Amino acid sequence: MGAADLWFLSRGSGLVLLVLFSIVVVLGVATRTGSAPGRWPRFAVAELHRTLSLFAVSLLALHVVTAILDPFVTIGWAASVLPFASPYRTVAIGLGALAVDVAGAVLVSSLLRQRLGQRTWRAVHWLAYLAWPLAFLHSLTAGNDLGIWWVTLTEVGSAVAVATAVLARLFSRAQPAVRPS
Amino acid sequence: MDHEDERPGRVRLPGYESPGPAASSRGDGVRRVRRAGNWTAAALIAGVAAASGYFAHHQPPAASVATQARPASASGQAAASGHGTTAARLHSSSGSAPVVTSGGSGVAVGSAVGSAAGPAGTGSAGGGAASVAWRDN
Repeated sequence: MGAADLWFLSRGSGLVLLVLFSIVVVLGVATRTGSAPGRWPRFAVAELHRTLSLFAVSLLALHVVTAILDPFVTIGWAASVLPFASPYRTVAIGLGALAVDVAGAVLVSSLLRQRLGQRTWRAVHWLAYLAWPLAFLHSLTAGNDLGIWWVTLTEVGSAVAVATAVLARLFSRAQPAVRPS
Repeated sequence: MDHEDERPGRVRLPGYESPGPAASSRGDGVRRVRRAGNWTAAALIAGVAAASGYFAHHQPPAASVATQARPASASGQAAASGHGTTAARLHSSSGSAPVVTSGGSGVAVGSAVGSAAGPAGTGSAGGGAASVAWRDN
């Protein structure tokens, strides 16, 4: 694999990661609101949310490692977790590092859910709503592929999906619970 | 293993009770998750491969010139790299930084002008070579 291939792989994995991250967020909201597609039981949606989250971790590792190993850009291993430490595109890479940190906190808290307790886990899990916008901004600022129509379509589609899910979540919270008479 | 299969030649052990609707529903849900997970994993691999392949084969117009520029360090210096790819990339956001570019026939020293926003810039290679326009891609 050549050096340029790392660059292409980093861009490709980053784009797919945004889509996967969006699906994970939508599934997480669906788990909470109970709006499962078709005849899917609610636990299956939660399980799929969990499975795809782990896929996202693998893809995130691929995205970060290929970006760092790419010899054309000087990002550095520390900049992958330390925000705004990269000499290359400081703000854009910094947003990505912030997203990694926040998503990492969500992941670790989920793995330690039994030890942390439900309240702490839920409080940390709310950070997922912060991680997605950071990742989205990272994709908008770090990438230069927005001139490609299907990349733009992918970005817009991801944003619309997540925005719809968040609105559905807010709407479901706003609705008062109906007590059986 | 699907316990609900009634395959020919197989007889249930005595005392076996068929699972209730709740267990059946759960088994159905687990199967759905597994299937969706497998398809998603396949789609991810295919998606990454397709996107990477597209980026590799659809370069900006400047790609016809085998020119590469390394990202400039804080001092604005850059080193040459001769990987032979057709991509022409300039990652420096400095206003005017000297760069060293490598071509097929040798090394040429020139200068590059890049915008702070970064997506596009122009550069010229020394030694009488034609002016090159490239995009940070």
